Amino acid sequence: MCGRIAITGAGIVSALGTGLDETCRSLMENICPIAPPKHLKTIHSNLPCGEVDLSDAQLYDLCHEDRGRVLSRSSLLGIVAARQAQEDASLVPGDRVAFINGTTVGGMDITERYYKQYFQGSDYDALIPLHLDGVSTDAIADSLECDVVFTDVISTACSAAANAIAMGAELIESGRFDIVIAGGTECLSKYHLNGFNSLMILSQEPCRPFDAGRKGLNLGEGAAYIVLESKAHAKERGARIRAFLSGWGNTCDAYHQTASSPDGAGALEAMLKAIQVARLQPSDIDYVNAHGTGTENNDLSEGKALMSLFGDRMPYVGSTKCFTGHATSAAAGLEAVISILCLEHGFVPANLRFRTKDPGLDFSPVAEKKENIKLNHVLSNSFGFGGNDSSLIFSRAEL
Amino acid sequence: MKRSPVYIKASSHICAQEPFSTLESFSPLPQDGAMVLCKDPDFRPFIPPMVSRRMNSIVKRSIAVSRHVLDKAGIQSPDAIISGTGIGCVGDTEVFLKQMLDNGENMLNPSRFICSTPNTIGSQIAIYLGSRGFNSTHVNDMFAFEGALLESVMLLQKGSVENVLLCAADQMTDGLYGLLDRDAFWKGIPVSEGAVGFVLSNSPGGVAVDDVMLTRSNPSWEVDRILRENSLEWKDIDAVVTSLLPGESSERFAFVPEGVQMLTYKQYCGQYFTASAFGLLYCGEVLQRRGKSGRILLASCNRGTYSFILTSSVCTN
Amino acid sequence: MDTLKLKAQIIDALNLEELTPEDIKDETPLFGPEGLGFDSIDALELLVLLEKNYGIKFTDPSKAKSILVSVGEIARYIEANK
Repeated sequence: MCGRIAITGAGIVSALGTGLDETCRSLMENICPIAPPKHLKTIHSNLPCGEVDLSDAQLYDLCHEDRGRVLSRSSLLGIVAARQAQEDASLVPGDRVAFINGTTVGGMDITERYYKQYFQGSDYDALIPLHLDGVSTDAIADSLECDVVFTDVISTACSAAANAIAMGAELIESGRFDIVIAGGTECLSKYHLNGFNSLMILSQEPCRPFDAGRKGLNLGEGAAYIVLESKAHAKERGARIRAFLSGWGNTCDAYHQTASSPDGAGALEAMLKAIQVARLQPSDIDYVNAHGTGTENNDLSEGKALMSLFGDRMPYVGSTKCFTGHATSAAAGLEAVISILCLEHGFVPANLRFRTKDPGLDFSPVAEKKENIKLNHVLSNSFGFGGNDSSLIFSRAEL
Repeated sequence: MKRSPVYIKASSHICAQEPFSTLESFSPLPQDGAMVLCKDPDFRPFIPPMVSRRMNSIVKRSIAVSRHVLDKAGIQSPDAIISGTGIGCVGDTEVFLKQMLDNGENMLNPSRFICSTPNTIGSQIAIYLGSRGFNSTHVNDMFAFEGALLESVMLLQKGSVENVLLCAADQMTDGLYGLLDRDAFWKGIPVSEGAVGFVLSNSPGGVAVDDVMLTRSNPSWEVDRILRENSLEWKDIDAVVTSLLPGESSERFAFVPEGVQMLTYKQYCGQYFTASAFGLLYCGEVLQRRGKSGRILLASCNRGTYSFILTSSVCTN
Repeated sequence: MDTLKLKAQIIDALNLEELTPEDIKDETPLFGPEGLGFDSIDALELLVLLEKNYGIKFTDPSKAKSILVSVGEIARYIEANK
């Protein structure tokens, strides 16, 4: 329901930059950072990515972390974004906080670098546990000043951060916690770049979501978290409310391990559930921040679901993955923060590189950015392999 | 705040014990520190070969245990499927990783990649059952099961769903065993694997889960809260079932007052990431056989974090 | 070419435990309910098989669609592109 779960803080690091201001500026100025990987060591230099333009060493410095302590890149990115969110919400030591992280890659970047050495001696033994999603999550929780008394990690592939945010909402609604930091982190790794490449869904050029000539997705990386709080608690401590989380919906397409159903049944159901939880009508949605990966299958399936839901009253639709790449388990976190920025600043980012409408769809995405508009409700879609479909609804702070 | 309990309508397992067996036939595993693998049932009655061709053992076990526990509860398809796994499909992860490191970044098998993501367990259960409801996967290390249980409990208490299929599974491979064995935490104990399934419901009847929480803070504060909010005192707790291994010192559970019976379950299922799911199954089995009302606290500890699951049964005789 | 060998390779790559090479006819459709029931992931696995064993590489999976129809069709393509 609108106006119950306040968002009192946000933090983000992605290909678009570090922090809310830089992210907002890059989106407004149509800066597309998708480029061949620079920091990830891979033979696939022909596959452009939405890479965070910071080396691991630069990330250590940004986090003020000792380089002697090995941390996965997912943890480093997560620390940057989670600390921003904590600071943005003015959380302090003594605040009892739950931290819900969406991640899948976890410490795979460390594992793939040292895996062979693990079997050759004991010098690297201390690094072995870093592989675990739980361990890389705890490293983020430990870096915060507020009292993170509870952690959970959700991995539903590309919708993980959305489900982490939904879990956070349930923790608040049930009265178990007053403050939750939720979102996701995912670094580029050779493992999942090669994994997606083996599925032949990576585009050799910057992606073109919803375009008839789209050739696949670009992987991205990053981390983003939002601070969720009951409205009463936020008011009581005088916190600034950026937006509200009004609805969340989760379904399983239950169709195929990788493919979405042709009619987008799971996607439609997830959006309907989120709208129902928010007690809104489809016509209340002003902008859909689509999953919009740029693959043939996703965009057609998601587009069909949007057509079923909105009919001839299609709101603005666009995918910001043309800026960030597809940051998989962190994607819904990045897109949550972007949705909040859109509500606050009254704009819709351009769906870059859109030229030709897909013949299977009867709508076009927002080809050019819209500014100085009033958005009340933004729906953000995130769909994972296996049909793990989730939708979130963010609403303007002053409705 | 006292919350309404949720109820375990059925539970089932495939682990180092006989598949789908009950308390009477559980026997302790050998304590020589070797790896003890699952005793698998014949999967063919559960999964046709064409369907199972891409399934690793963890997915096959999860599907078989899901079907078995749903049949026990008399449910065709659940409202929600919530999974917990500490390290997911580690077998496929190892194969894809080794291929990539040995042969370079070309000609890699897509099936291995797609089967290596943790949510392949929950989503393949959903595809198998045709279940389009809520679906989520928790992967928080040794507390992956607790996260999945807590989410199940929240959905049931809120009334978003009437029943949940909760499945916790982990797999052990030679490669993983070789690495874990380096860690003192795993050394010299029966390292194992398993899949445990539950059907949970918000309609009364059966063993109740009254509370579940995890804390990175002081465990005795959390236990005090659980007792207070459920209007209980330590004397109302019949036993504490802990995550301790056979012969391990109970120092980490020093907050349990003397005189409270302490039990363990890992002598039956061995050590693995989501072993606490077997712990809950064990609590349910013990409570059901008491012949009178009872209350058990399941307590786990790993790397300074504690989890607590309060269970009870009401005798209707 | 000897399609039995190709069939054995497909059975192995796709883990089709219940089938023998003799069970698969050269012109049995690979996809769809009337055929062997393969899906899009199987198609990708077949492309890996063709590259590994026969040095045939497809960069655009949609171009492979007309070849991945039956074992016979794949065999003819291998012959033609040796």
